[in-house]
Amino acid sequence: MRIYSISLLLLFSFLFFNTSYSQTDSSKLININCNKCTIQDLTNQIEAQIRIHIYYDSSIFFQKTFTYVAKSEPLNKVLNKLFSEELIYSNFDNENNIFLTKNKTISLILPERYFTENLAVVTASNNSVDDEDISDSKEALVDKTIYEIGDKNIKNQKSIVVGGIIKDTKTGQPVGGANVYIENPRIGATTDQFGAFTISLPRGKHVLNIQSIGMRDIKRQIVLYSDGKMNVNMIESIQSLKRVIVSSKKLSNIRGSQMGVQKLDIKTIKQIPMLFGEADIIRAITTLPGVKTVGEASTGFNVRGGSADQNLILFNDATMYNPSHFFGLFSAFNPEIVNSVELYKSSIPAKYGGRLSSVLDINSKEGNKKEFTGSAGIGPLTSRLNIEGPLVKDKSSFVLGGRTTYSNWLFKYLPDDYKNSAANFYDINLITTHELDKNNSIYFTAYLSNDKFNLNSDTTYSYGNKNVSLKWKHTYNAKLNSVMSAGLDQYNYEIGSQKLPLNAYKLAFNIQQTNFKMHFNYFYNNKHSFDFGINSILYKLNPGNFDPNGSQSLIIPDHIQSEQGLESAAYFSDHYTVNAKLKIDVGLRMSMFNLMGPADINVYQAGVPRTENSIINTTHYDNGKIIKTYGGPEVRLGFRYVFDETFSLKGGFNTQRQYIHSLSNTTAMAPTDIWKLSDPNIKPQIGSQFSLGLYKNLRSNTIETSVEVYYKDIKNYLDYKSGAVLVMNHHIETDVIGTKGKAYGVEMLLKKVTGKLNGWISYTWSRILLQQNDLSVGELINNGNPYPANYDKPNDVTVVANYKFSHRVSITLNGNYSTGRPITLPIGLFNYAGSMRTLYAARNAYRIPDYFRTDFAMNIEGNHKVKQLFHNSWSLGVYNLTGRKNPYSVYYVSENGHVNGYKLSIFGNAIPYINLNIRFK
Amino acid sequence: MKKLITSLFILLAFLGCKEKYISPVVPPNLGYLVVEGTINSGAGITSVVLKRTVTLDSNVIVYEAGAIVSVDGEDNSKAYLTEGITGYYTSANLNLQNSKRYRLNIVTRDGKIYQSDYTNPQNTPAIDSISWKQDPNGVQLFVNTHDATGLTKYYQWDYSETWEYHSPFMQYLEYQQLNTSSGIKYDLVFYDPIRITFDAAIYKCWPTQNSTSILLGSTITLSNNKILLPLNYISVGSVKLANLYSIKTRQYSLSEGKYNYLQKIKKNTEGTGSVFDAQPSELVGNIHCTTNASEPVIGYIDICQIQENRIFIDKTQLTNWNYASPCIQEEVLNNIDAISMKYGQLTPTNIAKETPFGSIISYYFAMPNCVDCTFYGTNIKPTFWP
Repeated sequence: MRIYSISLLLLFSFLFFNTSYSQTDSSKLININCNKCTIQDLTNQIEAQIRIHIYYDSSIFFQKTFTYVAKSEPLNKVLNKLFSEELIYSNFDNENNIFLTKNKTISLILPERYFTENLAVVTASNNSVDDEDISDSKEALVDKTIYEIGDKNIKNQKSIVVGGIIKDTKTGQPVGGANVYIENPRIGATTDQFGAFTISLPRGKHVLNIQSIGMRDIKRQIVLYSDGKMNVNMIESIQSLKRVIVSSKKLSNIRGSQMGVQKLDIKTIKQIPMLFGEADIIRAITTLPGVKTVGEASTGFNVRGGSADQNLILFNDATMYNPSHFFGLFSAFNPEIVNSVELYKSSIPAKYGGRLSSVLDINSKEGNKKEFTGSAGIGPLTSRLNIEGPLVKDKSSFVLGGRTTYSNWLFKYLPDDYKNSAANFYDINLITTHELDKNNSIYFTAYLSNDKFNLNSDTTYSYGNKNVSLKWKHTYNAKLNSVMSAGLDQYNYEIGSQKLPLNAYKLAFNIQQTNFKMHFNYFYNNKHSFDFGINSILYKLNPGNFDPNGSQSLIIPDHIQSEQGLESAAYFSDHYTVNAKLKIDVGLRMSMFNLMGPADINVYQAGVPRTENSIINTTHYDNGKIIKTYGGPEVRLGFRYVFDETFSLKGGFNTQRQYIHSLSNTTAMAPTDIWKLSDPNIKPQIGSQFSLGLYKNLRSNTIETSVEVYYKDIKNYLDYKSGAVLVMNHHIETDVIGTKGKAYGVEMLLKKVTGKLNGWISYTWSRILLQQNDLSVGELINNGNPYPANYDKPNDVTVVANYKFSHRVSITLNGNYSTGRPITLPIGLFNYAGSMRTLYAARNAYRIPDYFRTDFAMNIEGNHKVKQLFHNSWSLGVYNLTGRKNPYSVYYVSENGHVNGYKLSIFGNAIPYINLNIRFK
Repeated sequence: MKKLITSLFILLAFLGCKEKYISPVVPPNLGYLVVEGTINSGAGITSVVLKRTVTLDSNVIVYEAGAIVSVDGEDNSKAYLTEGITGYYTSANLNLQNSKRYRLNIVTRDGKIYQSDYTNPQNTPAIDSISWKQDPNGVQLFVNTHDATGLTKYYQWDYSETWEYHSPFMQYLEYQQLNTSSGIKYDLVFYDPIRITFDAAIYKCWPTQNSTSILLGSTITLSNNKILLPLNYISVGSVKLANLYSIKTRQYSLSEGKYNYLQKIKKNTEGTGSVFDAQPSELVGNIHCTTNASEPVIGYIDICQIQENRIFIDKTQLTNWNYASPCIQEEVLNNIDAISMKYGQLTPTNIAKETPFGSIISYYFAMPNCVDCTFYGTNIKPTFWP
C-alpha cells in the first residue's frame, strides 16, 4: 500500500480515534506495559497518559503485535524503539499530533492554526490555493482538507468571488465544461474551454463540488474570507468493472439559461456509426434536432431553416469556409484533435456574429503537459496519426495531428474509365499551448488541408483551407479575464484543364480573412456577469481568376475584380441572475460592415429588374475608399425560469446580420460555390428568431426531455434566378435575387444520459419557405407564391442508441428518417433540337422519396490496464445497414432522343467498415 | 468543369446507384406551343417547326398543323411560310435587310396569336472547315470557324449525317405465293430468272440522321474569334463509316438571349441530377401569346444567315475501321412446308446447295433488316451523293 499524504492518514485517524487534546510534547515521560498488544492497545496506553493524538494507517500494522515494558521513558524514545525495526517513523508536529508512516517520514511544515475541528487546513498563499502546492501527490481527491481562501482579516465582504482552473492531473490539460457548485444555497458555474471558472459564494464554509464527464467527482471543503483563486486537479475515472455511477446532479440542461445549445463531446461523436469508420463531427451534428443536410454528399448542414453558408464554423476561433473533404463524405476535422463541439442554434452569445443561423464552435484539445502520448487510426480509406506531449513540462504542450487518404485503390475496382483517376486529401493540425504564468496563457493553432481530384478527365480540381490563430488568455484577477486573439483564415479552390490546348484554362478562387478579437469576461457579482469585447475581420476575396494554362492556350485572362471589406463589431452582454428561479441574458452587438475599394460598382436603374441592360453607370472607387457601409444593432435576449429542480422554461429573441454570402444554384453546398461580400447591389441578410423551450428531467435526472419551438424571419435571403451563371460572372447581382424567408418548427428531444442503454431520440417538424413576389426585383419565382427551400424537410426523426455490454464492448444503432427534400420536377416534355426535352415550371414543387437510413457500430476496447504502453481498440460497423437506396436526387435526361427519369443514390448498398485505433505513450 | 461534373456524377453513381425513376405524379397534358427554328436572312429556305408539349410519360411528337406562319417586318412587310409535312412550315429566300427588324407571327387553328420579339438579322461567318482525326476509339470531327469582324460571339451548330449503307446479304431468291388445296403456301424462286443478279433496290441505301444535342460555342472568353470545337464522334467499327460518309453542318450566329436560352434547355435535360449540377430552371423565351399573356410558349426565334458545309469521309481514308455486321444467315432445306413457316419472318438470300441440274436443295435466309436496306434509310440516292 502506498503512503498517502497527510490527508489519508487523517482520514484513517478519524476512523479509529476519539478526539482528545494534549499539552505535552515528545519528550514527556510515559509508562508502557505491553505483551503482544496491538497498535490500538499501544496507542490507547499512550493517549491515556498524555494528551496526544496518534494517527496511522491501520494496514501497516496489520496483525502486528508489540511487546515492550517501559517506566518513565520519553515518548520519542519509546516510539523509536517500538517502530524503528519496522521502518515506521513517528512524525511529530507542533500541535501534539503524531503521524506514523512507513518507509519514509513526512514533512509537516504547515502554517500555524492548521488544526480546526480535527481537520487539516490549507491556507491560500497569495489568496490562491493550488493542488500542486499541497504535495506532489497525483491523487487529488482530497476530501478532508479545509482550504482557506482569502485574507482572514477582511471581514466585511459578504459575497466572495473564487476563480480557478480545473485540470486533469494526469495530462495537465484543462477540463472544460465541468460543473462547479455548492449545494446550499445552490450556486454553480461551469468551466470554459480553458478549464476556467468563476463563482461567487457567501463568506464562510462551503463544500465545493466539481463534476465532469469521465472524471471522478470531487468535493472540496473551503472557507472563504475574501476573493481568491483555487485550482483543482481532477482524475480521470478509470471505471472499475461492474460499477454504474448514477449521478443525480447533472442538471445543466435545466439550469443553463442558454437555449438551443447542443454540446457533443468527442466520446459521444466517436460512438456514432460513421461512414468508412471515420468519426465525423459534421455528421454527428446532423443527428441533433433542428440540424439537417441536403443529402449524403453535401458539404454543409442546415440549421433551423438556414442555408449552409449561414453557419459560422469555428475551429479554435478560426473560420472554416469548407468544413469537408471528398465532396462532403468526410468532415474536415480530425476527431483525434477535437475536444468538444458546441452548436448554438437559437441563443447565440453576443460575442459571435456574422452569420444568421448558427455557430458551430469546435475546440481542439490541449496537449498532454506531463508526458508524450499518441494515437493512430487505420481505416479502409483514411488513416491518421497524432502525437502530443509537453514542450516544457507542466507549462507548455503541443498536439500534432495529420490525416490522409489512400482512396486511389478504390478506382482500380471501378470501370476502365476511372483507372486514371485520383482523389487525395490530407489535413494537418498543430496546436500548442504555453502557460507563461498562472495568469497568462498563449495558444497557437495552425490548420492546413488540401483536396485534389482528377476523375479520369484532365480536369484537376483542388481546394484547401489554411488557418492560423494566436490566442492570449489573461487573468487580471478572480473577477476579470480576457482572451485576445488574432488569426488568418484562407480558403481557395482551383480548377484546371489542359485537354484542348487552345482552350486550356485555370480557374482560381480564394477568400482570405484577417481577424482580431478581444473578449472580456467580468464577474461583477453573483447576480451579474458581463461579457464584452470587440471583433474585427478584414476580408479579401478574389472571386475568380480565369487564366490560360499553357502557351498554346487562346484563353483571355479574365479576372473578376477583387473585393475588400471590413466587418467590425462591439458587444456587451449581461448574464443576470434575478433570483434562484429566474436568469436573464441581455446582449447587444453593434455590427458594421464597410465595403472598400478598389472596385468598380455598377449602378442599376431603380425600380426595374437588374440586368446588364439596366446598368446606368459604373462608379470607380480607389483603394481603401469606403464604398458602402451597412450596420446596425443585433439583439440577443434570453431568459430561463426554473419551476423546480427538474423543470424549466427558457425563451429567447435574437437578431443577426450577415455580410458575406455564398452564392449557389447547386443542390448541395459545393466546394466551388462563390462567396460574395455585400455591396451596394447585394444587401446584407438579416435574420431574427423567436424561440421558446420547455425542459424536464425525469428519473433522477437520468432522462432529459425538451420541447423547443421557433419562428424565424429572414430578409434578403439570396436565391438564384432561373438559369443563373455564377462562375466568372462580372455582374453577379444580375443573376441572384433577394427573397424573403420564413422558417418555423418544433424540436423534441428525449435523451438518456447514463446507464447501459443510453442515447437520444429527436423529432423535428420544421418548414423553410422563401418568397419572391416583387416584379421590380426580377422574374417572379413560382408566380410570387412562397416556395420551399431545397433543404426543407418537414419531418425528421433521429435515434441514436448505445448499449454497453461491458466496459470493453458497446454497440450503437443509429436511425434517421426524414421527408424527402423538394426538387423541381418536369411537368411535361417537348421535342427540340432532335431530342425530347423536359419542361420545368414551379421551383421545388415536388419531393424526392423519403429518406431512411440505419447504421450500426460496435466498439471493442482492448484491456483496461492503466499502465500499458499501447491501447488498441477496434471499431467496426455498417453504414446504411438496410442497404436502402436513398435518393439523393431525381432527374430527367435526354438520351438518344428520349427522356428518361433517374433516381440517384449516393450509397446504394450497406457499407461495412473496420477501423483500428491505437493509443500509445 | 462540365467534364468533371459528369465524371463525378458517374463515379458517385457507381459508388451509389442510378435507377430508373418513374414519377408517381403525371401532370396533365399542358399542350404549350413549341416553336423551333431560325429565320434565315441569308440564301436558302427558312424552316420553322411547330409542336406541342406532351405529358411526361408520352414519347410521341405532337406537331401543330394548320397554322398561319409569317415573318413580319417592322416595315409592314409580310412573308408567309407554307406547311409541307405536318408541322413543318417553310419559305423560300426571304431577302431580309440587316437594318430592319422582323418577327415571327403565328396564328394557330384555335385562333391564338403568337409573336416573337422584333429583332435584327445577324451575319454569320462561313464555316472554315469541318476537320476530323482518327484515334484508336473512333473518329472525332471538329468544326473550325472564325469571325474576322468579331461581331459573332455566340454560335450554334446542328448537323445531318448521311452514309452509304450496304445490306450484309444480297437477295438472289424470293418467295412466291402458291394457292394450294391446303391454303396459301410459299415457294422459292430466283429474283433474276437468268440467275445473275440480285435485288439491287434493297442493297444500297442512304440513311440520314440529325444531331440530337444542342451544340453551342462562344468566343466570349477567347482572345481571338477562333473556334475549334468537337462536333461529333463516331465510334470505331460504326456502320456510318463502313463505305462513304457525309456530314452537313449548319452554323448559326446567336443572340446572347438565344444562347442563354439554349444553354438552359441543355442544362435542364443534358446535365441535371448530379451532385453539383445546377437545379433545373424555368424557360422564358422571346415568343409570347398575345391573346393569352399568361400562356407559356417554348422557343426563341433569332434571325441570322445559316451557313452550311458538307464533307465526305471515305472508308479508304481510315485505318482498321473493322466494321462488322451483326447479321448472320442460316441454311434451311428447300421444303415447301418449312418455307411457309418462315415466310414473313425471314428473308431468303442465296442458294446453299443445289442439284447438278440446278434445283435448290437448301438455301440461306436472314433477318429482313439484314437483307433489305430500306429498314435504315432511303434507297433513292441523294442529289449531293457523288
